Amino acid sequence: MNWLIKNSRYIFLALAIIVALPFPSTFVGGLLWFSPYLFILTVLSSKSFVLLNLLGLGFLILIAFKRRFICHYMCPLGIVCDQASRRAIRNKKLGKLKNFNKSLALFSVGFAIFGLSVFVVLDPFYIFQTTFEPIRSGVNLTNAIRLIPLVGIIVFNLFYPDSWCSSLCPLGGLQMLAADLRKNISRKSTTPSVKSRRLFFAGLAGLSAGILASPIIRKRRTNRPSQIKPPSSLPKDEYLLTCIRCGNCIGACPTGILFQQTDVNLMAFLAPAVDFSESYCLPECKRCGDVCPSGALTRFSLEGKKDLIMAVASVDYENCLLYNQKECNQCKQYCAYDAVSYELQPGLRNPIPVFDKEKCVGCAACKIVCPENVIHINPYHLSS
Amino acid sequence: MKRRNFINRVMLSSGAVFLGSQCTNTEAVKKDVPSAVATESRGQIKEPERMIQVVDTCDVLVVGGGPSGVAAAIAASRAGAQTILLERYNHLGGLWTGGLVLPLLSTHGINSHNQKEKVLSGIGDEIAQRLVDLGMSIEEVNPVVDPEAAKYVMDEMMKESGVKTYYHCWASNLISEDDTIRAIILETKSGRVAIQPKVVVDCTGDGDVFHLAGEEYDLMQYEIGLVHRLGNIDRIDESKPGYKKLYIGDPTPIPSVNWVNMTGNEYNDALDFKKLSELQQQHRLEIWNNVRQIRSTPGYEEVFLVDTAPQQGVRMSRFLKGEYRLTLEDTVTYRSFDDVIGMAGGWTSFLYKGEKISGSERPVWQIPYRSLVPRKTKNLLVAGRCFSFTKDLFQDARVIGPCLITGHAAGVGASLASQSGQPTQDQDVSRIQKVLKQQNAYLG
Repeated sequence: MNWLIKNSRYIFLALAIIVALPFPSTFVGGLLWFSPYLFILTVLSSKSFVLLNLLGLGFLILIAFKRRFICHYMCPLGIVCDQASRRAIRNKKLGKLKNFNKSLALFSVGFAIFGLSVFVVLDPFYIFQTTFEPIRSGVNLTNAIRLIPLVGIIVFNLFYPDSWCSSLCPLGGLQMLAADLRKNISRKSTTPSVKSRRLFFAGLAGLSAGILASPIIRKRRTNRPSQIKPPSSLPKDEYLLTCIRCGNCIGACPTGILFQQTDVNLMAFLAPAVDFSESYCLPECKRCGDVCPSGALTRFSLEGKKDLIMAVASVDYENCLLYNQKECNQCKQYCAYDAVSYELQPGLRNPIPVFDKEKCVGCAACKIVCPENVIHINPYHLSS
Repeated sequence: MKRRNFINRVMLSSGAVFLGSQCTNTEAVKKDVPSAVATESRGQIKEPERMIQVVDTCDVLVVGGGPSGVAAAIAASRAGAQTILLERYNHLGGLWTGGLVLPLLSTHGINSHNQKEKVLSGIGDEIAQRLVDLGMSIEEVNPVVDPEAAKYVMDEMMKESGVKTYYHCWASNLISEDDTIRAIILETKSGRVAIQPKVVVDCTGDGDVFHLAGEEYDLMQYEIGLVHRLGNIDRIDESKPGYKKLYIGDPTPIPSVNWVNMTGNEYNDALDFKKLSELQQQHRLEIWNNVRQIRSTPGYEEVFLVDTAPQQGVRMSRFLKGEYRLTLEDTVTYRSFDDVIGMAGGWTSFLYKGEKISGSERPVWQIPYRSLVPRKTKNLLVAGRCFSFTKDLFQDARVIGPCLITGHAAGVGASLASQSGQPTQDQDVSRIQKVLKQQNAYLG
């Protein structure tokens, strides 16, 4: 037992590596669900709570009673920082950093209430897991960017030993805040200290920044090139800012239609989008919603999938087999949402496929099966 | 017993008897009536019993003269059975000829070595080859044939192999005992007659025989259309002012004639004779109006309607739940069966586990003997589009290629069953395979 407690950080390190590697596992998303920091931010910004969020809630309660529990027993990034700090290039001129962690935690919580959960990218579990993404989804230039946070923190620790954990990490700050808060409540102390005033302002600043940021984001909505988003994703801009680019949905998608955007558009950078050129969104699948830890994709049921509109189909009739009076039934046969009917149009001698825009979710099954490749899938707002 | 009690009981019991007589099955009551007069009840009419003339006995009776029926009858006869074929229209070939669905689909597929392979074999291939020799077939993969030539070739081959072919007769009922069909009843110009076969092959397409025999099946509503042909295609004048390109069907072996498919815009019940009649009329009017529209387009003045198909194009109706139901998965994973009796290929694209498989890259697939065998009836085999498969395979199973292949195998199976006297379920499949190979069937 003692051995277990002593080495629990290493056990969690191994666990974190296992879930980050591309093993076929149903529990993708892994350790991200454990983080109370991620939990607070995603629940506040998405205003929704899913079953797996209970894990985060549990750890939130735990850290209030056991000071820095995650730092001591769980954090895989902590081990990396310790090892880096041990090899630090000691330079007395650089001095020691002030502690920003509590303010940072409060600022991001405030920002999440009215704005978005963008600060989850500072979560140590996330930073650790995202480093492994190139192994899971292939080495390329964009995935290489995922290495920057971890490498950056290692380098940072080489110059300022132990500073990430003690003075910057917002998860560490959150743990201390939670413990302080519990102590204050149990002591019933009401005297505000200088420190807590600073924290109050940090929270207020976050709150106002969130309020200010959201209309700017919403204003920019209309004039941006559009990519097709995964089913059950939040409205476009909330989606792009809530998504933590963990790549879970991309790893979970059985038909491999999700990819990371690498547009010049910084807002959308690395956010998963849908590519229907090779395959389609299976009507019997809801895995992307199940594995999303950020709330950018919400969980959904298969029955409800008919209401999750991704895109809409259109037909280039010139080369449609039916238009040319040849034998075909594939778009209608493979439409799981009953959106295709064959109708006789004025001036035409034979019925052609017509798509019911109310029913079409843009899953692209018809586009893929079409023998003549004449069906196109268009982003929803362009065609509606 | 008091008198009042006695009266009460008499009244009650007579009331009960009266009520009871109202409730009893009309059938039971009518049996006692020794009259030839039909009796009516609740919109139904009971047909009086009568004796029916047995006009023939035979080893193998093939019901339906479409591609599967023709292949079955020729195969059975060549395998030594005395064979009769029943056809309701005046021609062989069913929808292939009478329905003017001229392409012989599913002749090729991709084998496990990733090479294009011809799977059409045996009697089906012989028919196709004779059409090539007559110059009445175009294209090598999924060839399009001339309907009259195909009718001729099939008649010729039936005559050569000594099959008795009865046209203009409709199998309307059967008599079975102990799950064995004793007689097939048919309606003819000579009245209602019976044929007593040893083994029956259901090649009706709609599964009329296995339905009457009480087998389990799935029923599917699907598109029903009417195909037509246009002539003088070679005399379209593209130089005429106002000319625009119209879609007027696909080429046939006769250069000046095109065949024009019809999809039908909704799914209909092919077993509803009133609906079929309504569609027949509607489709024929539609075609005439379409042709008129074409002829009024500059350059198309000389195009004319050669014919509308004698048979309504029913694509799907009943299909059997047999000893084994072939699945789409079986057919795309190169599943091999010990009791394989034939191979089929592809023609259209479909989705399998999130992936598209196009018609030209479709894997070849084996058809097992068990998918032709019903679960109950001991002397019945089923071939053609109503054999036993799951719904996900219907698009591949319903076309001419698999019909010819399953027909050929069912004919051989029926012939051997009639010789051995054993139920079709207990046949030695290795013997069927041996005879099939002697008849040039390709089993993979």
